[in-house]
Amino acid sequence: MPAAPAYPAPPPVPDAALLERSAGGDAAALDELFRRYRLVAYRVAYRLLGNEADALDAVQDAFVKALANLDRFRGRSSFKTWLLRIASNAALDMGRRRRRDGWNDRPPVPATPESVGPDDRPPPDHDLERADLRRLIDGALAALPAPQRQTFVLHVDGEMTYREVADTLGISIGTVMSRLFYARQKLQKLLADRVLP
Amino acid sequence: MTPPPDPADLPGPWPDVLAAYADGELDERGRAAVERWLAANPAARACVDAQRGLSPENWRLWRDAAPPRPGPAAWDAVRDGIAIRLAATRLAEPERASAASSVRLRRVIAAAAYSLTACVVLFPLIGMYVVYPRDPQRVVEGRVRPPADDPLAGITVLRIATDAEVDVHRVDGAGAGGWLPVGGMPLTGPLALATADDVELEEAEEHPAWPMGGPRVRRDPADAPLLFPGANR
Repeated sequence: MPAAPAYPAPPPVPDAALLERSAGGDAAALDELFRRYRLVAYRVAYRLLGNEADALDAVQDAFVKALANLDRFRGRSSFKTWLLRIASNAALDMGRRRRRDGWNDRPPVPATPESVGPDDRPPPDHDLERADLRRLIDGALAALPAPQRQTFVLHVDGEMTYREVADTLGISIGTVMSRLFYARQKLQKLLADRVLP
Repeated sequence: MTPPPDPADLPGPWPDVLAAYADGELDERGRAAVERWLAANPAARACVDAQRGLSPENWRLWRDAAPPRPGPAAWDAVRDGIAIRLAATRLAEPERASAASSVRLRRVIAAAAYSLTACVVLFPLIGMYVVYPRDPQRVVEGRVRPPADDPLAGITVLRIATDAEVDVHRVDGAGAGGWLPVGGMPLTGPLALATADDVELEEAEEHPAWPMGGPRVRRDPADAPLLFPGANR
């Protein structure tokens, strides 16, 4: 019996089409946009806030603002850069409010099987090492000035190129280089002998 | 250490551009320039390695330090929250649009009402003016009306005192310009016409307007302004 022909997977629906359908109230389109970008928005927000519950709040705020203000977006950049710009600004604002209000002790969201990471289930001690490493890096990032932190996080956790970071923050590529260079120099000092070889 | 590469070869400031080199973000020209410089300065490789150690290229570090991933229930709660808030926003939009159009309508009605009221009030006044036009205003023979050949006729006059307030006496032997106004000080204080910064005096004593030689003027804010009549008026 001949093998069934392997059909290539259909190309993903472009963001622009999903945005249009979502603006018309299509729940499936909203779900798909959320599924595509929730993790990257969450990683950026988490690195800027250091707290899972706050990061999820920032993600929700970012999606609502991004989708409710599409007239300001007008497709000048990708939806991802538009969303991450809003998410990072929302996270920085939230962090400032939390510090001002002295409310920075929210309990973490309970761990689930998914929370151990994308790879194979690691042993518990590895989980602890991972948490320690994360705390070290989060603490070092928190010591950076907000512009450097935001630029660094958008590049590393937002997986953005220099051009995308520049467009997202409305700065020049030279400024992106400077912020990343000096952010890494400070991080290198803060993390030396503990994280980096 | 050799001088940095030619800035014309680099897309950013030096040494910040080493971050872009570590991230592989430089074009061929910039990359070649940095590599030539590194070949001449091998000690600087440590700086590049430090930049690379914290770049996305060190994926193992970032994977190990990745934030805890929320579970499906947490994601569902976020998505539901987004859907609810967006629905509320969309529901509020027609209300806002309706409220805006209502405000516009009220403004149009108010403008029309004001216009109508203005017409009702102004119409009788305009009608009375048409029926009973005002007499032409009598012109008082001006005591200071300049003669037709007054060379200063086109110059705005700053009136300090009228001829009712001062007596003008002729000083014998002083020539045509020998008129002395006598009277009370018409002004209660100094009249600041300009400061020393507002005017520029050039060679005042040699100017033809000062045939007898004018005073030497020091540009000092404490100096009082000097006024001379250009002609008898």
